[in-house]
This record gives sequence, C-alpha cells and structure tokens, in this order.
Amino acid sequence: MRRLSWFNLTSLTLGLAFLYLPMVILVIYSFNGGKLVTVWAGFSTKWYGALFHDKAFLKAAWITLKVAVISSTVATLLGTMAALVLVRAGRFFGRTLFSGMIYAPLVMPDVITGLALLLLFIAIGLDRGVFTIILAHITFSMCFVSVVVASRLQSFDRSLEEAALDLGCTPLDAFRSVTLPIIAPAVISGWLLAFTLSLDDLVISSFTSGPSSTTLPIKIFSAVRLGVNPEINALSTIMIAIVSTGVITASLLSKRSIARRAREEQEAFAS
Amino acid sequence: MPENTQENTRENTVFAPWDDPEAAPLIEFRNVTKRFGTFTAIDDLTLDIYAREFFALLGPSGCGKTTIMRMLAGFEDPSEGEIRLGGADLAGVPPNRRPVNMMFQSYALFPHLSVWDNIAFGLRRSDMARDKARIAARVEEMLKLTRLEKFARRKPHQISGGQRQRVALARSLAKAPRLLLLDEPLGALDKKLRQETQFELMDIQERTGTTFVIVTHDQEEAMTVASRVAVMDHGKIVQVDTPASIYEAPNSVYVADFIGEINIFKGRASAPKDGFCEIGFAEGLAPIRARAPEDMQGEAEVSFAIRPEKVEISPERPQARERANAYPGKVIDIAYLGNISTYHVALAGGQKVKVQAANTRRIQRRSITWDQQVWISFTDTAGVVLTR
Ligand SMILES: Nc1ncnc2c1ncn2[C@@H]1O[C@H](COP(=O)(O)OP(=O)(O)OP(=O)(O)O)[C@@H](O)[C@H]1O
Ligand SMILES: [Mg+2]
Repeated sequence: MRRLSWFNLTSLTLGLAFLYLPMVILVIYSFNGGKLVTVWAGFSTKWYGALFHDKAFLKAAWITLKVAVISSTVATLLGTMAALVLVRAGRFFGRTLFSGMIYAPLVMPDVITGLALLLLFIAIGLDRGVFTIILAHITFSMCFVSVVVASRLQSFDRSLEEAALDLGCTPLDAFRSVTLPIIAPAVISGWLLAFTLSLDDLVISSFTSGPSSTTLPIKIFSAVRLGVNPEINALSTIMIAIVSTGVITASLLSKRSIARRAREEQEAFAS
Repeated sequence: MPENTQENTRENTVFAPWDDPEAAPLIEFRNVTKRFGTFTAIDDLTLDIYAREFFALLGPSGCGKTTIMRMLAGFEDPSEGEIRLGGADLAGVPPNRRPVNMMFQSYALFPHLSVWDNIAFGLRRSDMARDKARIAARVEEMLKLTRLEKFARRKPHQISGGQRQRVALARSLAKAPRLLLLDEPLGALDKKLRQETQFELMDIQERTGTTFVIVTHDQEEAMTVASRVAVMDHGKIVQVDTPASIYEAPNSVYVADFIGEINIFKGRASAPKDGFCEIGFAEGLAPIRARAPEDMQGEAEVSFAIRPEKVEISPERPQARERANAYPGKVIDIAYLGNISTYHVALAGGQKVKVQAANTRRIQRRSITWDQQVWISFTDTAGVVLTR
C-alpha cells in the first residue's frame, strides 16, 4: 500500500475537521457541568438527566417519531407505486410530464413546498396539527422513495415476472411473491431515506404544524433562539448517536450480506 | 415409383395428424402478424400444430422464434390475425389462465428462491396447492429427472449455467401443462447430458401426451426429437415438414443450406423430359442429369442441391450405369472425423464439392490422398432441383 503524501494527509485532516469539528464541540459541551455553553466547568451528565425530565421535549420527540414512522411508511407505499408506473407503463400520454412532476419536488425549495401546503390546508379548512405534518412529510419524501425504487426497477428483469404469470400467478401475486422480495432492499432504503428526511425536517414542519404539534427540530430551533442551552447539546448528541449507529449498522449489514453471497458462490463452485 | 408408395403407407401408420384432413389442430395461427413499432417480427404466419406433436422451430438468430413462443404464452399480442388453442381464440386470455408453460431462453429463475422452491412455485399455484405431500413428491420427481437432487437447497446464483438450465426445464415441466414451450432448452448442456435429456423429453412426451414446441439452434437436436420442423427466415416460415422431408426434400436453397451440409450447383436447367432435366453448370463439363421438380415447365434457372454423403468418390471413373453423373476433380482437403471422412474436391470448372464417405473399408479410403485426381459421381435421383 502506498503511504499518504503530506499533501494528501493535510487535505484529509482539513476535510475531516471541517466536517466533524462542529459536532465534536457539540458533543464535548453536552457534558459540560456549567450553565454557560462556551465556558467549560467540569464533566457532568446532568443535562441528560434534565432532558429526560423535560415533558415538552419528550412530547416533541414522541410526535417526531410518530410523524416519521407514519409518513415514511405511507410515502414508501405511494413512492413505490409511482415508480412502478414510471418504469413499467411504457409510453402513455403525458408520461414525460408525469415523471417530471414526480421529480420536481426533489429540487423545490422547502420554503415553497411548505408555503404551498400551508395555503392548501387553509383553503380546505384543515386544522394544523400532527395530521397536517404527516401529510406534508409524505408529500415531499415520496419522490425520494420513488427515485430510489425506480432506479432498482430499471435493472429488474421483467421476464421474472412473466415467469411467475406463466406459472399461474395473478399479476398481484406475481408482484407480491417475486417482484417485491427482489426489490425489497431498494424499498427499505427508500423508507430509511424518507424516515431520516422526516426526522430532521424543520422548514416544512414549521409551516404545517399547529400550536400543539411541535416536532423536535422546531423545538430545538425555537429553544436556540432564546439562547443555546446545554440540554439542547445533550439532545443533539443523542440524535447523533442514534443516526450514526443506524448508518454503521446498515453498512455492516450490507457488507456482511455481500461477503456471505461471495462465500456461498465459492462454496457452490468448489463442490 | 414403387419405392415411394411403400414410403407413404408406412407414414400413414405412424403419427402424422398433419396429413389427416379430419384431425383438428391444437394450435392454429391464422394470418398472424406481429410488429414492434415499424419492425415486422412475424409476417403473416399461418400454421397448425397438432396435439402430441413435438414441434421444432429452427432459424437464424432474430428470425422471430421467441416472438412466436411469447405470443403462445400470452406475453405478446398479435398485431393482426388470431391464435387459437383447442379451437378457442386466445386473444385476451392472460398468461396465468393459459394451459401453457414456457421455459425462458434466459431461464428467468427466481433469485430469491431455492432450486426446490423454484420448481414448487407453479405447483403451489395449481390445483394441488393444498396438498403439500403431493407437491413435495412432484418436486422430488422433477429433481431426480434433471439430476438436481444435490442442489435442491441452493439458490440460482450458487449453481452452474447448465444446472440453471435444468432448473428452468424442471420448473416448466412440473405442472405438466397441455402445451410446453421450450426456448432453447438444452443449449448449455454437454453433449452426453443433452442427448439423455432429449430422450427424457421424448419419453415425457410419450407418457404425458403433452404437446411440445421447442426452439433450437441445433439442427441435429431438431432432427432427433421433432415430429415436424419449421424452418424460419425473417418472420416467415419457409418450410414445415417432417425432419426426413426437410432433409431429403428441402423446398428452397435457404432450407437446404440451413439444414445440414449441402453442395449447391447453380445453373440452367433444360425443359424436363420424362421427368428429368439436364442442368448445365460449368463450361466444358457435362450437364447434371436430375429428376425435375413437378411444377417445372420449360427452361429455368435452378440450383441443384446434393448432400455430401450422396456423392461417391473413387480413384477411377465409375463404370456402373446408374451413376448418371460423373466428374473428374482434384482432392484439395480431407477432414478425417473417425467414422466418416469429408473430402473437398475441386472440379475442372472451379466448382468445389464436399464428399462424405463412411470409413468402412479402411484401406481403400485411405488410398485417396491430397492432390490426387479422383472421380466424383452421383445418381440422377440423389439430389434435388430447387427453383428458389
Ligand atoms: N420488444 C421488442 N421490441 C422491438 N423489437 C423486438 C422486441 N422483441 C423482439 N424484437 C425483434 O424481433 C425480432 C425477432 O426476435 P426474437 O426474439 O423472436 O428472435 P429469435 O428468433 O428468438 O432469435 P434468437 O435465436 O437470437 O433467440 C428480432 O429482430 C428482435 O430484435
Ligand atoms: Mg430467441
């Protein structure tokens, strides 16, 4: 293996520092004993304790989780269906328009999406609350799911489905017992993507939330405006821990399944 | 022609529903055309296939063989015309409602299921769905047939190409459908296994009475297994006939050239006299005397086609009177294939002729060597005169 030159080493260090220094500082200060965020006053975990006794934070966390699970699940359902139509339906009138419309929200500024949804909810007289946040999250995360699933479907061998039909499946049964198991990894990553997007969305949530339905990002943001408090640092550290555990687990899992597959193939041809 | 009548009576006692005007075909293609955009893949196809037939589709790559299969299985609809199965129009009948199973050219094995589950897939969706024991018995039977017992628990990506092909075959056979479509079922198998599987297929066909339509690139395979062979070219069927007739009496240069090896002499035929004509094919050489086709009237540009094994090679001019055609030539190449040898002989006019001879009399055959002056000869009924 080639050794890193001093130039590469510097670039790497600078890059990593740029990415992770803010987070490292945040994590360190979450263990600060003092009330002031910028002055170190000894190690302590008291802010974590305080966090778990703060009813408002716990409620916000619960709402966030609920919104994320429901919206990502529904978005996965709708997004997968949209992807199927996009990839499968061949040429139909307005296909280009439809696919453009599916992908447009990807690049739409959150402010505009949020505003548009707000206007819609007011127009149809829907009271803002958890339900409207869920609707809004489904709207913007659905297209991410459909992009992920569509790219998997593109390389899916149609003849597998035909074989299933040929062997007596109804189209629905063929989808359930052949297509879905094969594209499942893409559907799951779509779900995870939608879930994380929903978890940390601030802009659209603030447009569509009501007084009793504050999500965690909104809560943090409004708390910070009154001055950063160490409890926020503790909360953020927990979130960082959860997210990185998730990411690392997912990548380990996929690495293991690739390795297992390679090993199985070797065994198969060795015997 | 006493020989011919004898041939006919023998034919009538064997399986030949296509000669019986009373017999109702199982599959009828009626003026079927299939277009992909502006490209015509199948061009005005009319064809009958009878129950219990082993029907082989033969033709170069891209001529439309798979397209015919896909229309039968229900994955493509004809652009024009209709396809009937057992007298009923198939239009609008979805694939899962057709008593037809297909083995895909690409195998289309389910990657997430084991070999066992792949084979059981169709059975679980048939009338034996509730009977686990029967499904298991049937799967085991199929595994045994295709010699896959050892691989039952493997996934498709854990077995070799030939094994995959056998799984695909087993999966399509499992449901014992009325019509079985096999798209190049044996291409990836070695010769021995392929021959065994061929006989196995014929055996299955005899036992179950299933009708087979099989696509193959291997004409020997078509000859071995098929009751009839259809030779295709660019979406059209050029000839449909029994393997023997296709081989002995091709209706065109295309078919003659496609099936087996053949020598073609292009020339001008004289008007037929007593059923024979004379074909001048080279300056300074005697014309070929051959039986004229029945529809030939007057002179015509023709091709005379003769199989290499019907040409005799000898060091001296043959004396026998029935060998109506004899030409001197020089041996330019010999391919020794063990049981037979192929000689390439150049005639005086430059025409090259392939001659095949069985190596029965070892010493005599060996006496012909490279660059030797030899005589080739054939009778006046050994070849066919083709007008197209
Ligand atoms: N879905 C399609 N769209 C456009 N053209 C097609 C389609 N399917 C087949 N074709 C064309 O129709 C022709 C016949 O195809 P087909 O698959 O039937 O050939 P084949 O005889 O099975 O060839 P091979 O021996 O290589 O399998 C080909 O020229 C092919 O390019
Ligand atoms: Mg094909």
